[in-house]
Amino acid sequence: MKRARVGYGGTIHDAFELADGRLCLSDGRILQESEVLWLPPFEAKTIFALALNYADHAKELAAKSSKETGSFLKAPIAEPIIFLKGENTLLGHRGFTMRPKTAEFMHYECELGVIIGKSGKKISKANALDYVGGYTVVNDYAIRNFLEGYYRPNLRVKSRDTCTPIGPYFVDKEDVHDPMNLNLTTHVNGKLTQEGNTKDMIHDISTLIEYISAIMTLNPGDVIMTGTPKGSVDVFPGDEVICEVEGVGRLINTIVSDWHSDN
Amino acid sequence: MKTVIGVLLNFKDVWDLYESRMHQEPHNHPPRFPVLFIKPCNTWRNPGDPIILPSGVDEIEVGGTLGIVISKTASHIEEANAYAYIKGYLIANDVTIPHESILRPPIKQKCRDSFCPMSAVTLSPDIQGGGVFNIGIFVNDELKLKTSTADLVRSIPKLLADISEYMTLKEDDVVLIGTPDGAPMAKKGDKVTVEIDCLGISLGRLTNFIESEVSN
Repeated sequence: MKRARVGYGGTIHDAFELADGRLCLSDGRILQESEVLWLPPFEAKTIFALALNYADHAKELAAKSSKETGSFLKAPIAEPIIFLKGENTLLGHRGFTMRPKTAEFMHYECELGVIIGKSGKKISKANALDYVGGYTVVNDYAIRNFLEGYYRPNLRVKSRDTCTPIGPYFVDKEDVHDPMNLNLTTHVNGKLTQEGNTKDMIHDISTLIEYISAIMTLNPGDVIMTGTPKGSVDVFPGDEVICEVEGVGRLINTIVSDWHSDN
Repeated sequence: MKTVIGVLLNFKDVWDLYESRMHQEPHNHPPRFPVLFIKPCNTWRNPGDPIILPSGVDEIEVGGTLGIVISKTASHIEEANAYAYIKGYLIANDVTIPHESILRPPIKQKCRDSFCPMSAVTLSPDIQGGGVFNIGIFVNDELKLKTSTADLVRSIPKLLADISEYMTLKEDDVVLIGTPDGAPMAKKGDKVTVEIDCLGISLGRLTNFIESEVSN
């Protein structure tokens, strides 16, 4: 089942997707997906994200960003580079993401989100998928000129208000047959700008669950944003950015201008 | 759910220690904004709960620190108004595995289960508007380090203004102001205590014992 949390008629509802793409609220009302206000599809606990988990994206950044970085970006990626985000950064489907006035290069990152379904610690790779509750689509925006070389990627880049659209749905894991073979695409204003497949992750889902749970307990509601393939393009106010993961969802977002007058 | 945010390099002595390295690769320049990390919910513990040493780790740093507890939604707040967004203060122990590199997020070093004991919140109108907080860190009842918020790189109001510029803080979110150089080390069996007072008002003591991981 594909489950959502939406606002409609003055209150918040649980809802699920019907076969024809329409939405059924828990009270039985049937609506078009464009009629509701979309919230993140579940209450996230700890939000993990991966830097440089697709080889082609790592190469692309190393090539593009000689001015901002050093040799560490070009080094082989021996172990996963994990960072955390605050809940403040999450945004529902069809939301608005702000491009700050001082942004020089702001790009989307289409990713498969893995939602943990039960608690576990020191989970073996062989059993890792038993701990998954479901999947979702994530757009892990980054503003590259806000990167600083301390605890990188820093929160000012990766935990900004509005900068992590997620959804539309929490898709039960039974409905995703092979999470390690899903096409990912991003379209900006209808044009295909990013294309990849989850099979090209450097560290696959099971490896990530084993790695993280060796460090700390994973809990239901935790989500692992598994990284993005190459195809990073600067986006500007007015752009419509659609991140899609095959069989999981199509996450629409619109870039808006900085609404603050003073920075 | 609430978010617990920590700050790195916010004591002048720590800043000075790293200063020469800040101009070299991969840091390239001193940080222009607060360097933040998150203490996720698996790290939160109450006073008296054990702090668990992960297997293979013999010693941890006792990161006694002050937690600022937010009172209401704070976005783009001004430094001059920051105290209006503070509900109270708590004592925290930002337990950390010693590490040299500060290039990548400190997940292995700071996000282990039980690595963030926190006290109850002190709500006192006398210190709601701030003051100098004195922090004492004890190992087995022996005072090992004394420090105070007079030594911060960014003051409490400045931190809240800088963070809320891009992260909306909510009621009960916590900002840990940072830890000084020379955090005391502790090992299995040790009793670790953090004590904080401000303007003669005590926030109390936060005590926990260190245990080793039970293998399964």
